[in-house]
Amino acid sequence: MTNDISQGAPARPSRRGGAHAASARQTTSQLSASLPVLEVEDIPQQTGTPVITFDHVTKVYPAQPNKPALNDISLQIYAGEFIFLVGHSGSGKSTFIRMLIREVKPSQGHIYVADEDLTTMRNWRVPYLRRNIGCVFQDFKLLPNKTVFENVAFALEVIGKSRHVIKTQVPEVLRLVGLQDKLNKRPDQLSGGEQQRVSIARAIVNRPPLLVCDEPTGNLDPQTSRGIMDLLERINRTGTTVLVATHDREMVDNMRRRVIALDRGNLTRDQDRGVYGFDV
Amino acid sequence: MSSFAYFIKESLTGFTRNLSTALGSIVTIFLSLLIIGTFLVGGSVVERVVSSVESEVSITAYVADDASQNDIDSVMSFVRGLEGVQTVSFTTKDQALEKFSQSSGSEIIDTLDGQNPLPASIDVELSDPQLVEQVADSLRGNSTYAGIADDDDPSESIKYGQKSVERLFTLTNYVRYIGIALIALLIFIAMVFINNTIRLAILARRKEIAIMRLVGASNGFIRGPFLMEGALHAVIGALLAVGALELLRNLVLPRLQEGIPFLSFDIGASTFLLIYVLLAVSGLLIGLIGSAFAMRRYLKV
Repeated sequence: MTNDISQGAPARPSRRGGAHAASARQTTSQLSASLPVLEVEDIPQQTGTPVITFDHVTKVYPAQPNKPALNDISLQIYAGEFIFLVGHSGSGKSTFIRMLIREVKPSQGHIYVADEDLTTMRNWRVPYLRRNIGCVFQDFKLLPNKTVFENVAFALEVIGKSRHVIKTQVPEVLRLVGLQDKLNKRPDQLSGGEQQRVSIARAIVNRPPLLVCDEPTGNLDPQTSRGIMDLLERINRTGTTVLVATHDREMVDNMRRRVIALDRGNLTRDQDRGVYGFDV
Repeated sequence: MSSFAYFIKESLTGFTRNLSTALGSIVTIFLSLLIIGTFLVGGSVVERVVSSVESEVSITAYVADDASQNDIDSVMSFVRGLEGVQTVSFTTKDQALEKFSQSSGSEIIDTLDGQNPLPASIDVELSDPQLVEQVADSLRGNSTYAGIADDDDPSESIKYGQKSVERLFTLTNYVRYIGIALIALLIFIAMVFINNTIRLAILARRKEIAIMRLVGASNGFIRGPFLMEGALHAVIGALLAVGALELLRNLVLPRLQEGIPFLSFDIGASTFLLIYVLLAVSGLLIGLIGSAFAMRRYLKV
């Protein structure tokens, strides 16, 4: 495979990955046939009111008072965008995401999600915020003693959805991620890519308008990563805003979506159809 | 209502999934409650013994032979009106002699030559033996009694085992205080134990809690199954403890009674029932409060 050598070159044409990737793409394209498809150009980008606004956001953790995790970040994210959040380890990507789901509050500045100010949001409202944000993580965060079906159903159960809704929506979303045959498997019986698909299924089963992924492909090989990214792209085409924090240079360079680059807590670049842009 | 059904379902499946932690907390609750229950039973036995010893305390006020029935009646009704008095009875000279002859040999009676040196007496039984001093004092201060007392000095005519009663009460009170302190200490220890076990059980499932928070479950919804499970463990533990105590009551107590016949171990079904209810309720409360307390740190937003 010559892939590994060429990964560093951003300008190379995309997805030349041989027979495996081609077949994988084929199956995923079959799966996505059931979804309404918009061309990338059709997606309205950066129009209307932003769904997420960071307004001079600074976060300083008490452990490191002199080194802000995020330093005076201001940006806007619009509905339907697909955004890569790139940066080295410790650049503030995870803090950015944890602030979006209000696991941490900013030290200064304001974050608005759908016109609601997260800094003044009451604690009891936070679960309702999180119901509108799907989250995917590098380590999947699946419950090992529940089956695939139960893991996805769990997300609906705990927000009080009826059994009827669960019975119809869970198989549907598992079909969407291509796991319709593995409903009764446990996470440890699945491959890494399949587990990540389960966690994506869990994140979107509630049809949130925003999907946030923290290094979704960090544990996966390049080919499986491509499958995951295809899946995220298809989800994006249904109108879901997708924010992906990643290290995966090849993905960013190939997909040419908006790129927000962070470096040691500072916003260094915010670019439409951008590239990964960091030297290895 | 559907979420309540969900809590029950979750707590039951959580029970089978985390069998070892569930059994652990059940056994801990069971043993703690059993120890508390045993001490409560033991405490009521001791209390029973102590009060039976105390109830032996009575006042005997000797009356002169020439006392008029009127004066005697007025003194008796005066004593009846005092606090802590249960019954007041009058023993005539003949009755006193009869009692004496029953308790001692007939030779002494024979040497009396038909004379009766024993005085008549007013006997006071107390409902609250701790008040013996007070009752005796009031009787001593009663002027009518001073007139009819057997001795010139009324305090010499009133007998209630002054010094030994004092010592007895100091002793019984100490026994009570130590018993209460022991039981309080045990309850505290049991609560710490149970709280710790529940905390461990929740710690083992913190991943599940994290995911619940991630997908937007409200705090009440996260807490529900855990509280239900804590309560379930507590109730099972309490039932086991009650069953074990019931066994103890039916098998061990009769043997003890046989071995030590002069003390009364018969503390009554109502006391046992009270102890059982107490155990079940406190077990349930500890389970609920312990779970809620242990959950708190995982529910911070």
